Amino acid sequence: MAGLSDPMVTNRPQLDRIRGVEGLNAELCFSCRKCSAGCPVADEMDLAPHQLVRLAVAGLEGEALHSSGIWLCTSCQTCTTRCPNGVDVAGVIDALKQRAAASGVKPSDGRMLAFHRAFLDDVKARGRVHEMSLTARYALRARRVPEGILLGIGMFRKGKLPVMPPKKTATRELRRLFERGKGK
Amino acid sequence: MTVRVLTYYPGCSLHGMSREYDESTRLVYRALGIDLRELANWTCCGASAGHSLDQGLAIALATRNLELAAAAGNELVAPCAACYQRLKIGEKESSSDVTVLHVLDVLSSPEMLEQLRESVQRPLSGLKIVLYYGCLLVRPPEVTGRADYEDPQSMDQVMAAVEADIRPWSFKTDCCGAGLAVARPDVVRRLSRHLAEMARQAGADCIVTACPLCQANLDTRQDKGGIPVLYFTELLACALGLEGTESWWRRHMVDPVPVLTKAGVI
Repeated sequence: MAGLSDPMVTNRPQLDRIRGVEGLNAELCFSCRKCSAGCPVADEMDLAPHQLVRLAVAGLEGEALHSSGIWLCTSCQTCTTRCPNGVDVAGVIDALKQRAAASGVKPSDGRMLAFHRAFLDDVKARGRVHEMSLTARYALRARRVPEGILLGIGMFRKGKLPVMPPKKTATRELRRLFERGKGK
Repeated sequence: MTVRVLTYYPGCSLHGMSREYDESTRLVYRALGIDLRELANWTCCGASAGHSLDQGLAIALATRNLELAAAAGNELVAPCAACYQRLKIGEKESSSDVTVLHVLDVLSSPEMLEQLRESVQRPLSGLKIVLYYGCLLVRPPEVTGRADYEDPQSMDQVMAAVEADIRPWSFKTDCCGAGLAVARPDVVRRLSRHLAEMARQAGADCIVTACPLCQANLDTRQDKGGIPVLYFTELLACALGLEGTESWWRRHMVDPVPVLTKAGVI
């Protein structure tokens, strides 16, 4: 965790604090590490869930925003469910992802961020997600051939993936929802 | 038989890669006297992308559907665990009168279990299965309201009602990583292959799921000779002796036909 005390990172005035956010209860953490013990991807994270919570409690969100680990979180909710103190660990990680995305932090591995953006692009454009469009949007956003392209071809040949997208649904209404959410 | 009408939120996957889950759910419900009416103008629940990027948008995408549902009735049934959980969060965060239910919730009531027991045409006693609930059907309990979140029972009860040979295992609610499926297949492969291996060690012929993302994720990460992954509703349709199941099997990556034939299910 080099650069922990870097004021350029930690004192970003535009960054909302996670400590004290109602419902997340981050400040109740007593570092038992149960969240990280049950996490399916903790081994692959640069900062494990308990470390992310500690940084948030210390007001050092800025450090955690650069973590590639936050983007590996599968949102399985095991950490939140098992926390003995009622800390919403997955909620803290969501809050970190939201802040990282909103403040334009570029993760060292941008694939998951690109996927989430592509997903919401498809929701906004169609109302319902069409798997083939989502994959194409992801490829454009991530600027790469999706790793699962061969699998996708296999699924297509099995007749699992419809070529035609579903009829657009309520897209005008959804555009308004997306605009309203901006800046939150 | 009196017909019960319920509002149905299929979600994007059931109109896409998981049509066999949609078809089998409708077929089984109809056979049990439940008419599913698809919610008009439903839109995506926002899934994990919504809450990863924008909290307000995530809630708004879910509650929009609840508002539509409120006009149609007071219960909304979702077959996808991810949709179910996001809609459930919407239910908690809004003042909606709508109760969100998973397809399993309806079928695991005492009355429906009794009806299932009475309707069995082909008991599944020859089929050894493990039940995979995944994450979002049960967690977090503050949202799902489930007390048995570490060892859930609803799918066990439903499959026991059609006499399946349920094998105990410890991985009912371990994460398969489906949310990372497109962008991080390396991580997902490790998680889902481990589950498939553990299912084999538990002596199962197949893994049974109640979520399109779990099913697709487990089914697509295996090598040749892998273990089939089925929707619980597909097996219910077989047990109830319903017509129209044939087209489902070829949409599975791991062919379930040999296992189902050997077990006398089809």
